[in-house]
Amino acid sequence: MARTPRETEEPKPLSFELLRDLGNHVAEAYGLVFTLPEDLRAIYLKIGIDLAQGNGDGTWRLPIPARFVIDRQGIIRAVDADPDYTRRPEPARTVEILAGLRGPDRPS
Amino acid sequence: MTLQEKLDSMREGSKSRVPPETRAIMQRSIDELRAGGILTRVARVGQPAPDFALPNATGRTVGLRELLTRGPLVLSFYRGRW
Repeated sequence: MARTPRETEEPKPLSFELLRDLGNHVAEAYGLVFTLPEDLRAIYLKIGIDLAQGNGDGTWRLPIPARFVIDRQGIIRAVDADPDYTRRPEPARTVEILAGLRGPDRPS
Repeated sequence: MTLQEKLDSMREGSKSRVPPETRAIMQRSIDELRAGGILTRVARVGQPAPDFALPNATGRTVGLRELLTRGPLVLSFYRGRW
């Protein structure tokens, strides 16, 4: 099918889902939610980040960043979470864990 | 370069822009979360993943079970831009 230049420029659809957890309810179920202390809120407000407004629910709550690997039976097989948001799981490690879930002997 | 190496260099770079007293407040918040035991409350390996159904980018509701029909799932929680 012929494509117009404009179509070609359009970004490809994401190959994964981007979900919106308004109210942090799912993050809460996974045990990740905390409320920012007053002194930290003041800092964010000073640099123009109004989390209560951005959250859309009036709260200063955030999840700590976290990555879960869940197998097809719905069981959590790996967890990586850290209150220090500058420390994130290495993507290569996540790929390794997924490869391990497929089992070593099973042909792909 | 690994992701963590990139993040470490970003953190180092931010030191010249963020005043020490601000950095101290940010660090204290992280330390207090850790000391308060937040990691003991995080869902654990071996537990069933808590169920969910949330809207995706197009507004369609997507649930855990539907995602698992496609294979094992990587569920990543992040906070907007950081």
